[in-house]
Amino acid sequence: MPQMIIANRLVDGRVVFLAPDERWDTAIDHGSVVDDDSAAQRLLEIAKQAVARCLVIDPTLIQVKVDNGKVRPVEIREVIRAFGPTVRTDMDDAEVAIAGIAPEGDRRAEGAARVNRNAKE
Amino acid sequence: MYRYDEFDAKFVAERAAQFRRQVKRRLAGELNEDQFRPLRLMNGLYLQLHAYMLRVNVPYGTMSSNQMRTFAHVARKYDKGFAHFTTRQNVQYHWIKLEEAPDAIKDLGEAEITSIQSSGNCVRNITSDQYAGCAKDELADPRVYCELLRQYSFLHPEFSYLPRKFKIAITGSPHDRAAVAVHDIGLRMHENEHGEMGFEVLVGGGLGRTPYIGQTIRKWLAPEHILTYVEAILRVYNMLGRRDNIHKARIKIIVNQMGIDKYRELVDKEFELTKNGQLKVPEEEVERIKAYFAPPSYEKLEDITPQLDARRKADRAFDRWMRGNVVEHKVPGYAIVNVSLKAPGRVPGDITADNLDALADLADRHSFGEIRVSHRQNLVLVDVKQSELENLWRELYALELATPNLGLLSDIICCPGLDYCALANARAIPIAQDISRAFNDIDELQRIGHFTINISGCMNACGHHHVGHIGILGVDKRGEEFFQLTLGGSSDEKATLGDRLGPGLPQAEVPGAIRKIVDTYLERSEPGERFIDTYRRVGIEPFKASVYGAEAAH
Repeated sequence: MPQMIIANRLVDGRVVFLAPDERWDTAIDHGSVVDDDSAAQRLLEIAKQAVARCLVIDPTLIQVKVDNGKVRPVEIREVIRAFGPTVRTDMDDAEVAIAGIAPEGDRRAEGAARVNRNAKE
Repeated sequence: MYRYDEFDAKFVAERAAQFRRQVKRRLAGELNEDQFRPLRLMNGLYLQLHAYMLRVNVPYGTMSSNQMRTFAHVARKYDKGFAHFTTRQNVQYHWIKLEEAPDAIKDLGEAEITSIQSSGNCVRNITSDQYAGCAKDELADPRVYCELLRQYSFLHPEFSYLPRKFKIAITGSPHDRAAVAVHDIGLRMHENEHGEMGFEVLVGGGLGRTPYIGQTIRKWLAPEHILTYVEAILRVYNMLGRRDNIHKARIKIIVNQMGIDKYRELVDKEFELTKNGQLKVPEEEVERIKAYFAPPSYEKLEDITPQLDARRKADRAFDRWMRGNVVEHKVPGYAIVNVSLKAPGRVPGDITADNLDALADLADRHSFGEIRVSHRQNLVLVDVKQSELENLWRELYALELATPNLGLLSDIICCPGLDYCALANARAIPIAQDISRAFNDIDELQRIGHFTINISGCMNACGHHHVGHIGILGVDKRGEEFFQLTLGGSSDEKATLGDRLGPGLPQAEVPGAIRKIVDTYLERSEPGERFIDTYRRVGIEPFKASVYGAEAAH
């Protein structure tokens, strides 16, 4: 399964993803996604160096799915970490997070997104 | 209110400056995360899913309008324009940047607010009745002893590295609004047979993965011994509490393993050695602290309930609010006004910076410049003239802070859950939002009557799910969120832990299950009987049958 590195940026705690050229990017779609375990371990090594250089904390390998160039974590926790929170539609990508959590085609996701849009108004 | 003296102010400023240096060293690479983490936690700074979180103490839930404005300022300048009130009468900011945290802490300190001891294995914020000093049923003002214990336990060298965190709550009223039975130490003020005021002392209560109701370790304790006796409890715990297993480290575990009688014996032995020592509280010291909590300059007013009743007849919305959120005050002509942070669909406990400022202004104009926060995540203006109630209601209404649902089904306690918290297994806030939207008819809610729903996103139970009339616990089941219901919990003077209703439900089924529980209650209840009393009378089976079908109940 495809994997990537998620971490929190030391200076402000923002969620970041390890991207090519050892950059850290706040957009998950810009992050490096690898398919095999040895490549994943190489990413983790780069991340550990970034920890030592005081750029990020708590880097973790997470499983993701890639669909039409859009990267989505598999675990609910990491979806929320990447896009959430799901309850504040005035910030970040709450609706993406909600859609990412529910099983595909689940009407609950559409319902939740609709309800949250209403709440915003 | 307690005001800092020069030593307090100097200490808090120095501590903020020290933390600034520590952050600077961390960012410069002189400290690694393992070295820095304990330092930031000592200042209430956690790392959560999306950012750092700063937890700030509101001692026993009491704050001035100036402090409220400072909370607004910090929300605006260092967060995303809002703050969150917690079940520990604290404030949490969920979007703090490490590089700005020292500035936020400095700004808070200048308003006599600190984040010290809001984390770590020490005595945490001492909590109390949000109506302290004003409640009609109050026997004595608990804030005096909260403050005494706060000063005593603040940076206490012996108790800064306890086996685990330690929570103390005090109620001065027979009706317990402070949930003292689910604290490590709970103190209930009452008179003994000679008419002397003192404390019933409970120990070993707590929620989390191993919930217990506190047990009475002493039926009556003279106030002069409050520090010596609490110290004896803490000392025995500090010596015997387990440090090898975080899940068995709280005082409730040893109290329940060795039994209350044995624990009492150990505490009494320690207490005998120290009770007449230097921690015996002199009367002058109590009087000195009492002076900080002297009643405000109440006017001599007539009770105008009959006139208000006439106004209520004329305006149904005002009547609903009066019935829902306004409580009798001990001083004639005054009332206690609850400000609900639980409008339908809103995040329980969240409030915007603009509304914090607006409430600070309302407190200045209507309530002697003081605001309280309850452990149920609502705010309170405690000293409002009855004659000003209608005007205040209109102003709160305009701010969308007049939802008249206090103590009703949509007045939900809810932890931040997986939307923010790194420990959570499931989200909690969306469940609260779903329920409060499903039950948004105030007339219906008032007909259903007193009901508490408490939601936690993991078994650490920050949302107090064990003691909700309906408790909801979020769990992760093979990568999906499920919600387990418990019924019959209560955190008042008749505290009980809820009973598990059955298998967990997916999010979409939770509001429907609540509806079935409510319908069963309405069918089974006797006239005027509250849900909790019906539940205690009829038991869990009818509710189980309504949610899971008749067969599941047997």
